[in-house]
Amino acid sequence: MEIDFASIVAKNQSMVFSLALRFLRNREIAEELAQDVFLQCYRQIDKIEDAGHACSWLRRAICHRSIDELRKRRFRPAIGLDDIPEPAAVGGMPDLMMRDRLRGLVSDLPEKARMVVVLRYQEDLSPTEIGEMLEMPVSTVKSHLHRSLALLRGRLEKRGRARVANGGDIPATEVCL
Amino acid sequence: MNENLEDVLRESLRREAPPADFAAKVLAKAGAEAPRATLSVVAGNSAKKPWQRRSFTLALAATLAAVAIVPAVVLDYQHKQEEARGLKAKQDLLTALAITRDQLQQAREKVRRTTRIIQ
Repeated sequence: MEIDFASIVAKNQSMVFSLALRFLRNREIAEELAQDVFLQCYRQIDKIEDAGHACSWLRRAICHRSIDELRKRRFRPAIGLDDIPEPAAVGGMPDLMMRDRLRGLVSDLPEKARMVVVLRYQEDLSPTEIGEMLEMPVSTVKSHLHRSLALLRGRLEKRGRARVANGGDIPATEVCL
Repeated sequence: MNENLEDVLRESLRREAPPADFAAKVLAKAGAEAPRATLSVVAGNSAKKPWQRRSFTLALAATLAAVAIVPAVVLDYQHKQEEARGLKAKQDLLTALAITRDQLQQAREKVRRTTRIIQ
C-alpha cells in the first residue's frame, strides 16, 4: 500500500490544527505548531507504517507539543477576532454564545484536564485511548473528566444566574473568556 | 444535564478547518527541506523498505554512470565522424590535384607541340 505525505496532510490537517487551537486558543500559534508537527512527521516518514499510524502519531505529537508550547510561552489564552462568533440571527445567538462561552471555560481548565476534555469531546477518544496518549492512568483520565465536567457545569450555572440578575444582558466579562 | 453538557461540549469543540493555504505551506516547507526526497513513502511492509532503498541507490548510481559515460561516447562518435569527413576531404583534394596535374600536363604538351610547329 502506498501513502504519500500530501495525503497525510490533507486527511489530518483539521485534527492537528483544531487540537492546537482548542488547547492554545491562539490561531496563529496553533497554525505554526501544526505546521511544525507535520514537518516533524515528514522527517520521520520512514517510520510511519500506514494512514492510521500517521493519524495517531500526529495526534500524540500535537498534544505533547501543545502542552510544551503552553509551558514555554506561559501566555494567557487570549480571545482573537477569529474566536468572536459571527453575527447571527436572533434565534441562533444563544447557541453561538454558549459554544464560545464553553470554549473559553475549557481553555481556563488546568492543562492536563484541558487536553483530556479536548481529546474526549473533539476527538471522541475513550478514556483508555486518552490515557495511552497522555501516558496517564485511566483512573486519572476519568477523574479529570469528572471534575472538569462538574467545574464547567458549575461555572455555566453561575454565569447563567449572573445573566438573569443583569436582566438578561450578557455580562461584559464574558466577552473576554 | 450531564448528557446535555457533553453534547454541547462536542458541538463546541468540533474540529475546525485550518486556513486554506495550510497544506500548501506544509508541503512547500517539506519540499524546501529535502528537495531530492520524494514526498511519497511506501508503507505497510517495513521489510521491503531496505530493498527499495537499495534499488533506489542502484538506480541513482546507474543514472550517474550513464550521465558520465554518455557524453564520452557521444564525443568519441563526433570525433570519428570528423576524422572520416577529414579523410574524405583529403581524398577529394588529392583527386582534384591529380585531375589538375593531368590537365596541366596536357596543356604543357599542347604548348610544346605548338612551339615546335612554329619553329
